[in-house]
Amino acid sequence: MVELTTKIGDLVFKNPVTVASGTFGVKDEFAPYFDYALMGGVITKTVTTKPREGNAMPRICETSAGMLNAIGLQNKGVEAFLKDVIPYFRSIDTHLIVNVAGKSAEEFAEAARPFSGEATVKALELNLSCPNVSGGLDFSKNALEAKKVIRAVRAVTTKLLFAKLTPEAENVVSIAEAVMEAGADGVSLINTLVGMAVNLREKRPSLANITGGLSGPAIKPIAMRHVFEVKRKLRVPVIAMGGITTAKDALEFLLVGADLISVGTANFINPMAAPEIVQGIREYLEKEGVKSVGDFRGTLKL
Amino acid sequence: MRKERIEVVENVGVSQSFYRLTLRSSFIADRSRPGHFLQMRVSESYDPFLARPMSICRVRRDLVDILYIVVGAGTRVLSSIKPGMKLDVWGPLGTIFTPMPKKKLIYVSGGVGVAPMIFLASQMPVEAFLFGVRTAADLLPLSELGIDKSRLHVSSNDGSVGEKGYITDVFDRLAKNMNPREYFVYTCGPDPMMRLIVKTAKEKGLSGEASMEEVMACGVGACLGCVMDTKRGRITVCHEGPVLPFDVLTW
Ligand SMILES: Cc1cc2nc3c(=O)[nH]c(=O)nc-3n(C[C@H](O)[C@H](O)[C@H](O)COP(=O)(O)OP(=O)(O)OC[C@H]3O[C@@H](n4cnc5c(N)ncnc54)[C@H](O)[C@@H]3O)c2cc1C
Ligand SMILES: Cc1cc2nc3c(=O)[nH]c(=O)nc-3n(C[C@H](O)[C@H](O)[C@H](O)COP(=O)(O)O)c2cc1C
Ligand code: FES
Repeated sequence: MVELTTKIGDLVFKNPVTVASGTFGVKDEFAPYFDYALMGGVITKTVTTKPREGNAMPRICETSAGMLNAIGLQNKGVEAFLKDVIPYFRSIDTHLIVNVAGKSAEEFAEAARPFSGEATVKALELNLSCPNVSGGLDFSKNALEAKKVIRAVRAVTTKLLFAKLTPEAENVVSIAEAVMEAGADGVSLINTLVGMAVNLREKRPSLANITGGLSGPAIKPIAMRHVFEVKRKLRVPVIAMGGITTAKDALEFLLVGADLISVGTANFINPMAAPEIVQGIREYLEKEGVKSVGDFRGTLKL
Repeated sequence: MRKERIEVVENVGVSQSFYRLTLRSSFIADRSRPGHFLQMRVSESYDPFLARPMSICRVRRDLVDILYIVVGAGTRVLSSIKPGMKLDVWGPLGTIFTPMPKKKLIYVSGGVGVAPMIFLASQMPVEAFLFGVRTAADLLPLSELGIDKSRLHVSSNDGSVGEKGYITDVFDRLAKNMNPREYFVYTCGPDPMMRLIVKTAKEKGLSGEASMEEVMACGVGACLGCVMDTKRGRITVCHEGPVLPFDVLTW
């Protein structure tokens, strides 16, 4: 049996496969397809202090090997989340990582605070990088802003904190360094890239928001580059995401050093993507005669 | 629910515009009800990338029929699929039409929206089946519709088949003599058509259900890409729809 457990801080994940925020519903959307306990963790859709309506329709658009989205952080707010989502995950044997966002450092802290005492919540991911709300991206384009958010959240919780960064920053490595300095336990790389599509027939932008976040296999090489650079220069824990669709994709990210991987847009084209990736990683390592994922991680030849 | 790799049994043109794709899956066949749809990837490649939602049109033992018209990249690829090939499919998904066997049932369909109407009409009585098309090429033969000719009302925009004009005009005319307590309306078709049907129905006090269409990514309520504002608030069309009662619609 191949050992797939992965440790970050004091937290042990049964395997390195998680699902990315906003691509796996809020709660039980994929439960009809497979047992969530097959995954190392679930990262939930961004939750904010107050409910948000999100953006106008249309919000999604297919692109070459990917899609654009401008959902705009639609969510029912922290209070409803605590009442409805947390109890659901209480009995599920997988690590729940709650993704939060706010319009200011204070709002981030306010959104994070109620989860600090929840044993079911194993870690928080801070969405410093939503391209579809005003102010969203700015937090992780600017090292000082990003630090402010991490410090504010660090002050209200001892949970593991992952800072989710944008690939649009001028220097992602320096932002990653800044958030780690401010007290983050790791970084999530990458959020979507800002893109745009046009509907020629209607002579309009394809999205009501005009621009949206590009995700899917199309962005995988960009994600790969950022994960590689951050791992090489900083050696900090990284949750890698961006186009991971098959076990082969996941293994490539593990090879460059990712600690965990997240399956995102792939959930939309295959509701079984996450458990199939867990199984595929296991089979590959077995076939290669590698005893544990730890022995495989970061063994990229340069 | 599960995702399956399903064998395509048949994929044939059944009129100038329509194709019928037949899949073999006892899992889906056993669970399908009128109004349900499937998420279907038309190719293993990333182009086209997203799955296409397709209404279930008919179930025969372990066979499931889909009707489609080639309008873009996905349906073009679909039309080239050969029997014996396999597709990734998951479902059945979404809400279903409520069976109203005691009412006089009116079915109003436009274009490819006819697919779930055919499924429903195969299980319920049919008082009148209205089918609006752009042109004669978009019509389906009676053998595909499975509707008694005397119950069928066809209109085409160009007058090449049936009545010239819009199916909404046919509905308006018929609705004049409908007692709201006796009749119930089911509709599926393009948005502008359904809006007019629902408006007329509401004016006459007629109840009914409509199947909504929205661009989708996940099809399972996970991405929030297909939302719509209703009297129940902001809902996902794929999971909380696509079939909704008229009185929930803000139209
Ligand atoms: C619940 C649900 C059930 C559906 N059931 C069926 C079904 O039973 N049969 C079926 O054929 N389709 C059905 N559809 C629509 C289907 O999912 C696809 O959107 C459609 O077939 C076009 O896919 P495509 O890849 O060929 O076109 P795309 O490449 O996605 O679109 C190409 C272009 O055509 C436009 N376009 C898309 N659809 C239409 C249309 N109907 N008329 C005019 N222009 C259009 C698009 O806006 C785009 O500009 C259903 C959709 C939903 C939401
Ligand atoms: C429809 C959609 C909604 C998303 N919503 C969120 C969100 O609420 N919070 C967040 O941090 N990231 C969100 N993301 C970004 C993903 O979590 C992920 O970082 C990104 O899509 C890249 O991974 P992928 O290519 O595997 O999807 C969303 C992505 C998509 C496609
Ligand atoms: S298509 Fe994803 S929520 Fe409806």
